[in-house]
Amino acid sequence: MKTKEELLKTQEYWFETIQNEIYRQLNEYMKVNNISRTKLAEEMKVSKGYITQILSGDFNCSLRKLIELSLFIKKAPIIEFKSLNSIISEYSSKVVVPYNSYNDKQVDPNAPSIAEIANKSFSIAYTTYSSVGNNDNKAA
Amino acid sequence: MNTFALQKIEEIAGRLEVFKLTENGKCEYDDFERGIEAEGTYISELTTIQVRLHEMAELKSLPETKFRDITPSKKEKVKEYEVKTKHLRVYLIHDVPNGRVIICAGKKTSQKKDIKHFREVKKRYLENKL
Repeated sequence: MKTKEELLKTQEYWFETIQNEIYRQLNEYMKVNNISRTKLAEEMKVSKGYITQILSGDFNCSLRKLIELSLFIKKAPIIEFKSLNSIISEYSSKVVVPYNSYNDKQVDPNAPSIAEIANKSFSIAYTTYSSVGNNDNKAA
Repeated sequence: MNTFALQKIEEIAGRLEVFKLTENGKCEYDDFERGIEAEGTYISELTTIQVRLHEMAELKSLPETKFRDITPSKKEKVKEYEVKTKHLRVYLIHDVPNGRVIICAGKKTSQKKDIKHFREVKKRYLENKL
């Protein structure tokens, strides 16, 4: 089993985590706006199969498509390049907050998780997207 | 009587703890990883499986095509999960408080047989715990 530090050096790690983040962003948009795959496909003027592909965590399209999708869900796809070593050392000093079934259920679902607060100064996998404007998550 | 033990996977430092099950000192998941590495065809998929295990431990939501609940019925108290790639499968249960236990793993081609085996080992392990 590779350590997280070892995984951070693999293509598979970045491909997988970015794909999953795109899935989470689109999934969240659909939940917040109570919108079906069919309706989303119509609004985006794409095929239902394309939406299904993204929701299967299988987005491997062009950079232009990524930007198009991000702007549609009112998010900006921030791409930041950092030295791999600084990312690895960031991860090594990351605080792991164990899951607590009682405490974790008490928090506001919209509030950042305890782990996110503890690691707010770290960039790994938390800052792929930023909101655009004040009306984020509202259907276009 | 078989002796079961849980070995914490220290490489996964997430919010959930992840363990490997050993039976009489033998860990099926370790054998699976060694087999895939020796064979060489699915090394990239094995790395992807490991990334998915890390994301699962960090409580991040994953698409059903990558991680899914395979618990056969609602009556079943111990939840069953599958982490999958195109050709590989890893089978886990939610057991110890806030922890997941990898019971076994295999290829897609043998998934029917592997799930049957997974449930047999799970049953033996849980009975052994009582």
